[in-house]
Amino acid sequence: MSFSVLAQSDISDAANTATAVLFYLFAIMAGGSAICVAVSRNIVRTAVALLFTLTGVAGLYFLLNAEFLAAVQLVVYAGGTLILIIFGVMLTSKSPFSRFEAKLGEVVIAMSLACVLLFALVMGIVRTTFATDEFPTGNYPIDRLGQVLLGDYLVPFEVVSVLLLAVMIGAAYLAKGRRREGEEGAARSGSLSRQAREWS
Amino acid sequence: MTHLLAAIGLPYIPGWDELRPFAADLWLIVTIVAVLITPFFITRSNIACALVALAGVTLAFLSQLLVRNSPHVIGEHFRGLLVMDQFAMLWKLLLLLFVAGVILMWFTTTASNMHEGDGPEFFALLLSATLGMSLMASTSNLLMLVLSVEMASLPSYVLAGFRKTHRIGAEASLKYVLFGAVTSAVMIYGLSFLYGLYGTLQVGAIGHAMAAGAIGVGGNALLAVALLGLIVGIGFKVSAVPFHFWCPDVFEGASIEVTTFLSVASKGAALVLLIRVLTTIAAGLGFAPHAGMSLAALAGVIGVMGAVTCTVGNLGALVQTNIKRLLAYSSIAHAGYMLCAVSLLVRHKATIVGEDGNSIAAQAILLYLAVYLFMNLGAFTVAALIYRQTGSEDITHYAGLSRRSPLAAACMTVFMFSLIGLPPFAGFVAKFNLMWVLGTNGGWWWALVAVIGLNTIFSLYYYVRVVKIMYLTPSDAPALNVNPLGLGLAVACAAALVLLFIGLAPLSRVTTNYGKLYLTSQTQQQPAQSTAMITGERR
Amino acid sequence: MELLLSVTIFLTFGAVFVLANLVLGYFARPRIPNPEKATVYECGEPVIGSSWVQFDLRFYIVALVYLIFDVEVALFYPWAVAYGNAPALGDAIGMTTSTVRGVAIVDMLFFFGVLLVGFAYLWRFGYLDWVRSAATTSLKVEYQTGVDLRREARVLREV
Repeated sequence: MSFSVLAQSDISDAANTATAVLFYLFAIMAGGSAICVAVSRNIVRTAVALLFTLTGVAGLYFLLNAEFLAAVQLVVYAGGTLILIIFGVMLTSKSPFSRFEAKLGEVVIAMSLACVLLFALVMGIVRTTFATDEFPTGNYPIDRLGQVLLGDYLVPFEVVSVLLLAVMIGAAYLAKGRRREGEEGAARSGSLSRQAREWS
Repeated sequence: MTHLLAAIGLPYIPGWDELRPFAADLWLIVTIVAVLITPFFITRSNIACALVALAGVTLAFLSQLLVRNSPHVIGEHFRGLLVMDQFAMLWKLLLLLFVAGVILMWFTTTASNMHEGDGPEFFALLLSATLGMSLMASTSNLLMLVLSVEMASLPSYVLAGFRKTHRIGAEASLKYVLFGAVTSAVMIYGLSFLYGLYGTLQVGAIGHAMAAGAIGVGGNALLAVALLGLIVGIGFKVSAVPFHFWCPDVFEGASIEVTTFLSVASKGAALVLLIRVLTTIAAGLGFAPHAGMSLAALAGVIGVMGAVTCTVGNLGALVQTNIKRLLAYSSIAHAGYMLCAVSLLVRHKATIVGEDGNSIAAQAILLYLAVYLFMNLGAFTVAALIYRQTGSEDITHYAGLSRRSPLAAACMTVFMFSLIGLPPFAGFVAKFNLMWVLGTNGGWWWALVAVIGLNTIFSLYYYVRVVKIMYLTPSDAPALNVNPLGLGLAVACAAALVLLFIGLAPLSRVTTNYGKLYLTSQTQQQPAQSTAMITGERR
Repeated sequence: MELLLSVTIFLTFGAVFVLANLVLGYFARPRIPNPEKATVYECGEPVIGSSWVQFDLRFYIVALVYLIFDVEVALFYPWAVAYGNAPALGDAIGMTTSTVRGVAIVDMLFFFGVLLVGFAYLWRFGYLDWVRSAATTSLKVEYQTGVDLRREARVLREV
């Protein structure tokens, strides 16, 4: 009996170390690639760095036992939104390696604002005890999440359906509208796909 | 963990008592669905969808009128997520009236040009945005706040770029969506700190928790960031000054009924939301300068923002020659006037909010919006009518309008004088009332009164210039054959402005009665655990 | 927590396995540079042009619609789990199984009903058809009344 208790505590020690290691791993991944997103001037690299930021954040959610949120982060953001961004890059820019250039004045203003904000945030976060509840250990029961959606937060749940409907219609309209407007662009892509057929 | 789960309420189906106060919003949802189903049955769907949308908005308006001020209606609903009070009721009525006007305007302007099959999408988006703006007035919870702001914004982005073949429109839409995405991200980030600091999403409970205990220096820094985020997000919607760059471009690029819609509904909804959130928080703090949270500083920021906004708006309008850009800058200026009234958060001399939750700022803004709605709807309608005939939005092409279309010119004159705030029109009352309310609070609010007065003099120039061109600049252009429905709408708006001035008593009585916010809930709804958390000392 | 531990071990092992093989290969392989080796591999065929072409816009539309359904599914999932666990959930919160299920069904009917309208709209008017886009672009000048883009597309295909 005592042997199994010992083994249990060993495992939990190892798991704590693993949590710490994974936390720093994910934090560095999210933070570092977020810096890359901001600094990189190559739009494709920016998009790829964003992928790592989103995945890192998903990992942090996972460490907080918010598995559902982590899964949604991966499926919706890393899986869906990012693909959309990359398609956007592929669609719009003639040369995917286009660069952004900012004026010196803009950089100075942005940097000084960002520094003030960073200072306030770091000072604030370090010196504040947050009033949020202790996060539960163990997996968050998904059926309770369902209960919240059907109970306390029923209205947002139902309103989101209308919002999604509106977004769906809007997205469909924009896609349709663009195609009609860009007769020239459509012709070009048409000729491209024809070329592709010839090649294959 | 057990405590976290114990707090979760049971699943439920909202009963009729819960739903009835929000009958107008339900009607809007039904109308959105109906608009999308219409083209399944009717081939020429544009006009049909417009009629369905108009009928739905009318029904929503009527059902909102039928909601009485009974104790069952006033208060929090859906477990504290939405709140219904006189203030929200009157805003919903104004909004629905205005949207009905915008749909009528659509018949006179875009109806014949719109590509067949785009109608269902246009009206579904228009009504979704309306639903979001309507919910913005009722939100008492940060989650609903974010959701309703997005609900109002996302369809607006598409509406701004609805003219497919229009290059400026596409650019405007892109500008709008980029600005909007960034500002709403900042806002949500800020609001997440409010949740972190106070452990609740209920605005009322947050206000109460602010009063309950100090959160230390670090907490105050985070609170500043949180409120800054809120101001950024809502300031964008109001087009307050550092965030106003999108406004002229979007107004110029969007089709004219979308411009009209955004100019009043979007800004009005944002102001109403700001009043709701800030007054609820200020009520928790007792409308007095407070140690933990500097209400006076917040009022100062908003007041300065309002003063700068109206000055920049009016100075920008001086050089405009495109009527839509001119009205865009004018709407920035008017939003600035109204922002000045939002700064009434701290009691100086006058009582800001009476015993029954009667807020003088809310009254002033409702009265202003009620009048502004008619002024802008009318001015844009006349501009649209002229655009339909001449194909130009340039003011110089308004030359000789008094001869080419006397009625349109007369209406436009009424709107311009009313926008300045000159007496025989309701605009005077709205503006005078606003300045009066600011003046009665005394202190540095007198400075805001002075700024508004100075700005009125600036604005005289560009509004009167339009009138001067219409009446004094000779032109041998042929007479205009304006659409009778549109002219009727313009005349109705002009008549409303005159009638509201003559018989102002009913309107001011309405806004006085309806300027009540539901503020009494904080003491009862206070969750016990959050106060305990906040009073616990920081590390 | 055991899960976390195994995930860490899995990740570590995966990373080490790949890196070790690469390092091993770096030291073991012979170096014979050749320009052919530096070219893009395309099934053994010579490459024509760059791969950085503009994508067809249709990919974007599909991705956009996919994203919306993605979010819907994310919201469906907790609901489905609550519905499936209704007996246990009902016990925990003091409601009968049938009440929990009934409430869940009614609340979901509204949510799903609203979305279904949008889906039906997209489907009926041909937004989801892959062939449609080319057809409507070329046909847009002619067609006036109907908005049935699928029929237009079908006509084109028959021609």
